[in-house]
Order: sequence, then C-alpha cells, then structure tokens
Amino acid sequence: MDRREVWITGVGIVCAHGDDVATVAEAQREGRSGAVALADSFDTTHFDVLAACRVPDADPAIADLKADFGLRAARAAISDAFGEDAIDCRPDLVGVHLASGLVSTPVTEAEDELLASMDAEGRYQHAAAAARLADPSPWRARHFTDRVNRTLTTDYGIRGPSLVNHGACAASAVAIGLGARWIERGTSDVVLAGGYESMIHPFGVLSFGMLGALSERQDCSPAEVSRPFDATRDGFVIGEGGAVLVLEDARRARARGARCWGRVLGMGTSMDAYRVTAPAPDGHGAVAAMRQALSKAGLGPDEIDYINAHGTGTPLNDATETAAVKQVFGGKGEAPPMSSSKSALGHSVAAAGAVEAVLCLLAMRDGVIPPTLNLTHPDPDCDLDCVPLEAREAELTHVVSNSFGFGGVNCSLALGATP
Amino acid sequence: MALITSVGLACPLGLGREAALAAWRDGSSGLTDNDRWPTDGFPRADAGLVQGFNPRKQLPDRKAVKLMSREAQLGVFAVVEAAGGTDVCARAGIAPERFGAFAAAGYEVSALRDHEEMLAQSRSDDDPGKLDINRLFSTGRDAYNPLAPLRILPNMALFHAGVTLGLQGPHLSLGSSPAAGLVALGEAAEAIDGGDADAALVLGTDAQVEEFRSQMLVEAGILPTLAAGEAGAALVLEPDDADDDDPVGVLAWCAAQEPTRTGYADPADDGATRSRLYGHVLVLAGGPVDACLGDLWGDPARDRAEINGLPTRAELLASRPRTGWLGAASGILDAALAVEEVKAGRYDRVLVTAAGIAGDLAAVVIGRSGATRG
Repeated sequence: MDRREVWITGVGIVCAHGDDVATVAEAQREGRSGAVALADSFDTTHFDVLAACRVPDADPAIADLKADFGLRAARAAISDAFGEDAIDCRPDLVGVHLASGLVSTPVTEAEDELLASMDAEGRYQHAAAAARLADPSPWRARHFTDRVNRTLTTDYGIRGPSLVNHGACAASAVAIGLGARWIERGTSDVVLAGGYESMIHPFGVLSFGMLGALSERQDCSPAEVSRPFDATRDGFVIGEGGAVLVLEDARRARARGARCWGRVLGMGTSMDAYRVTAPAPDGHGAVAAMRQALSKAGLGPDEIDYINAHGTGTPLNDATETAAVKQVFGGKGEAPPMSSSKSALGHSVAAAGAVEAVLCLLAMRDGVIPPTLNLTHPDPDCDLDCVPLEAREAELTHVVSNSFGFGGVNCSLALGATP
Repeated sequence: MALITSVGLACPLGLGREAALAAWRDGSSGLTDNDRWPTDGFPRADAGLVQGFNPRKQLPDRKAVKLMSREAQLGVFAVVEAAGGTDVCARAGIAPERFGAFAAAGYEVSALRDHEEMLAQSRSDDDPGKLDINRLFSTGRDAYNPLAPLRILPNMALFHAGVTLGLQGPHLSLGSSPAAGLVALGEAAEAIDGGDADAALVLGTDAQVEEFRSQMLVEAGILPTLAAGEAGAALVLEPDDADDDDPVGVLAWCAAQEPTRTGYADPADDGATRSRLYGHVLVLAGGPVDACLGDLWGDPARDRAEINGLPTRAELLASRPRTGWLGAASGILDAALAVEEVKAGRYDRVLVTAAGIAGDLAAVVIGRSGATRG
C-alpha cells in the first residue's frame, strides 16, 4: 500500500505565552519571553534558580497540572480540527499517542502521602502504609501515567491504539512522528499526538537542579536567563505546558474540507549510547536523527528553510547540536536559519517537542522565523545563523524540529507547509 | 516477517532463559513469600520475585549498577542474555545505528529509599507533619542522593540497555502497561519490515514489588487478585533473511482501546472490544491460532471479558497467576513464552494478549512463517 500523506488538521497549545494560538503566534513574532520569577511559585531563598516559564493561568490548586495542560491542549486541538467537541471518525480508527514525564508531586501531597507514613527519623513505616491501603489517593493513582489517555479515550469514545510515551525530552516529538506513521500505514485515520508536562514544583526543580541542568544565573531579569547559543549560557529555564496535534489522513481531511495546518513529512530517531545527561560530543545521534527525518521526507538538506533547534541553553547541548547541524546542512552560509524557542518558553521537557512543532506550524503559516532571545554574545562554537533577538520574515516550506533528551534519545521531525 | 531470534529473561519463573523456560514447562509457580518488608496488613504475603539476582555480580558494568533502578537492572540482565553479550553489533555485523531499541518500562515511582533521608531533613520544626521548603532546598538537598534523579527518569531502562549494547538506532520508550510491551514488539517488527533497522531489541521491564506500590496496585484493582511481581524480558528481532534454522516471528499485531472508567475492575463492554481486536489480528495473521497466552488472571469475574474475547477453539495459557502482575514486562515475557511453545513444537501459532489499567489493549500473533503481517 502506498504511504498515506499526513495532514495536521487541529492544533492545541498551552504554554507560557498562553493557550490561544493567536496570542502565541503574536508573542513569537514580537520576540517576547514567557519567563517569570520562580519565586512567584514558591520560596526560593535557598535555591539558586531565578526563572521559570509558567503557564499564565496555571491554577496551583490543581494538583495534577500537567494532566490539566494535556487535556486542555487535546480538547482545543479536537475542537480546532472538527469544529465541535467530538471526533468525526470511526472510533477504532482514532489513535492517541501522548508523552508525559515524571509524576508531579506538590508539597502538600508529599506531606500527606510520604511524611504521613514515616517515623520521626524519616523511616518508612510499613504498618502506617498498610493502614492507608484503603484510602483513595489521587497522587498514587497518578503514578500510572495514563490518566490523560484514559480521560480522552473515554470522553471521546476512542477505540484505536492508545500509548503513553516516556522518551524524556524527545518524547512528544516521537509521539507525533509515530502517530504520523500509524496514519501512513493505515493503522489509524486520525491520531491525537503530543505531550504535556509540569515540573515547576519544589521536587521537580530540585531534581533538575541536582542534575546540573538549570541555569543559576542571578544577575539579570527572569526574561534574560535563557540564552541558547550565547557564550554566557549556563543551563535551561524550566518550562511547562502541553501541545496536541490532530494528525489526519490527507485524503480523508480533504474530503471533509478540513483546514490543513501543515504536514508531517518524516521522523528520524536515534540513540547516542553515550551518557545520561550529556550528548555524544561528535553529535552522531543528532546527525542520524536529522538525516533519517530528511530521508523519510524525501528532502535534501538544501530544501529545509528553517530548523527549530532543541537549543536548551546548556553548554554541551548547543555546541553539539550546532556541530551536528553543520554535518547535515553545512556551515554558516549553507545551513538554514536555526533558532531556539526555549529562549522564550523555557524547556517543557516531555511537552517540548510538541510545543515546538506547533511553533513551527505557526512560523510556516505566518512566514515568520521566531528569534533566539538573549543571544547577544554568540558562542564561537555556535556560529550558525541563530536568528538573534528579533523575528525574521521568510517564506518557509519545509522545516526541521529537533528534540534531544536525557538518556541520549534523539528525534527530528520534518514538517511541511500547507500544500 | 520479523523473526524473533533470541530471548533473555529475568523473571519470577527463573533467572535466565533456560531456568525460566524450564519452570514454565513444568508448571511451577514463581510466587514465593515476600521477604522484602513485613507484609502484615498488606493484601498478599507473596510476590513474584526474581530469585538469585545479584546485579553487582551479574551485570556487565558494576559501576553502572548504582545508577540503575531495579527495573533497569532486570532489563539489562535480560537484554545482555538476549543479545548473547555486550558486543552484539560487532558479532552480528550490524552497524550500531541500524540496531534499534524498543522498550516498555516501569520507573522507580516513589524511590522511597532515596527520598527518606531528604524528607526527614526537610521537616518543619514547628510541625513534623509538614515540609519546610527552605530546609528542602538546604539540609534536605544535602541529604538527597544525587544519583536518585537519574534512577527515576522514565526512559532509563532504555538508556542502560542501549549503552550496555552500544545501540544507536531507532528507539521507542513506552510506559508501564502490559499492553505497551506488545506495542513495542509490534513497532520493532514494523521498523525491521520497513527497513528502518536491521535488528531490534525489544525490552519489557518492571518492578512492582514495593510497599509503596502496593497501595497503587490495590487502587488499580490488581492486588489482591494478583500478586505483585517483577521481571525483565527481552527479545532480539531480525529480518526474515536472518540465519535461523527454526524461524519464529511476529506474524501480526494490533492495538486498541477498551471502554473503561475504573481500570481493571470494570471492563465496560464485557469483551466486545477484545473480541474485535483479537479477531482482527487473526485476520492479519492469515488464520487461526492453536493457543492463546492471554491476559488471564485466574479469577473468573476478572477473566470474563478476556475469555469472551479470545478465540474459542484455541488452548488457553496464562502466566500471570504464576508470576504476579509484571506491568510493562508482562507482554514481552508472554511473547518469549510463546516463542518457546512454538519452537518446542507444541503449537504452530500463538496469540499473545495484554491489557493495561487504562483499558489499552494489544495483541500479537507469534508463529512460524506462512502468513504475512498486515
């Protein structure tokens, strides 16, 4: 059977710029940062991290914020694609592939669930745990990370495959790429694909802080902390949010007169097989992912108009990614413009790949390359055209979005503009 | 057809492929007294433990063990056995970037041992039932094992498997659902058949025997019907031109979603979705099967939907009553047992099924070639 064409017919996004596509596009065009003070969320007197990219209307009273983001994004995407809160497709031909990270643990739940089962010395008390067996616990239930899938499949009557992807920072890009393959090979006609994440709580930032991944810059405003490709970069700013795309068989989408946001043309995945928190210095994994995505898309390097970089702002990632892009696309003057959306929205971990896929669609639709904010002192090792400070108008037909994760998992998506 | 050319197992039935398959054949149970913690007041006193597993002695890189969760340790044991050592790419003459890895894995959800000291050092002076954020970020942080975050990242089993074997090809990292393991197997077969990889490792690994998780398993409707268990199971897949004198492979696979609101306790359609799914996968496989390694728990009420869905003429086999609930490892363990059944000549084709808590279902037909996957 011929490979079917995959259209993106619905988009939902929740990020530090908000949950309205028009607002997100405007912020991207204007080069606004979504960063705020982390101290607005909790006391950081003893924690040397200044900034976070919070969803503006995130309600801290919602214990499972990440699921809230995922459900909001999915419902918005469904509504966008079908014009109503329902999916117009045979239920068994609708699939769900969403990415999620670690379970969020608000402090109050840590107190209720963990401290309550410990003795004065902090030792876990089996009898106390046994006594709590019959008590329902939303937090414990969340450890089965399928709540969003379960809710969506129930609410919308979905009967096709349903997966939770745990591929770290590359997870939601993989979810989109694999979801597209389900359509290409006829497993599904419609797939909800994307991811959601919220780690902006004390235990979340503590974990990333101990991995040495977060910027500890204090000598600037929160909006100036995230500095991908800059010589002064020292880590990423934690973000949160969710993004879901409705992927659809193009023939079916055309027949029902659906709007096309763009096309998924190809995905490449690879593993570094190197270290947990550091990319392989020669960038072989990133190179393989980008080349495979181009190959699947049937495109040459010179046909790519823009690269949305993984661009975390960690010293190792940005230099390695630059070197990898050069191997695939050539050096300065040959490689297409590349920018990092994490300079504005931070790193939303499992959601990042899907959020950035949406930003790529907006870039192609509007003909605007989003800028890399705070890139005032370019690192000589990051010497490609990284679109510093201001957005740039350009006609974009084909773009590549990179997502590279802890554990050396890499994913590149090749996306195409509306035909 | 993608062939399953090798198997690795660390499961309650036995540590290592030969021991586990021998126990499967002789019908013995892998459930034993749970000696991990005092089980008074817990729903079951037994568990599906992997006996005799010493990661420091039995894994190739002792230094890496401290970076691994129990899931990753069991998984690495299984993948090294399946691969026949850590140099599989060189031995097989396969470029590392053409050798993929597809995993379904649980992750160390609570990491209680890692968190105890940190939480103890973060208690409020005024109210020991409350946390003091400033203490969490100072004395609590100092008491936190810096390796702990690396153990709880959810794709670490895949990472350790990939690093141990030097695999650089396509990857997929799915969550802690029995059905996810079979989806990983199906997608690995697709990668081989589609030319994206020349070989693929498939891993299912999970460790559910932990007091904190017991609470979760009760809420999910697993305990006390099934015991909790732990296992790592791995398969190596290669194209059907591989040098295998008894080729057994993936004939077909499918996945679907069952309507459910309350997890395992309430399959809402009494097997109708399963019946459609299993019927469809048999059509894709080109015909009926002789046996089913089903998602059967040995509890008539719980098994009704599954039995209603399975083909009526096939012999029903079940591992879960003998291993406990193995989460992400269940599907791959059953796939490995199905390979054994076919290679031993007891059946030509076996349907393997798995169901997740969220109502996610997957089915794979394993057998000798003679029909192609759809």
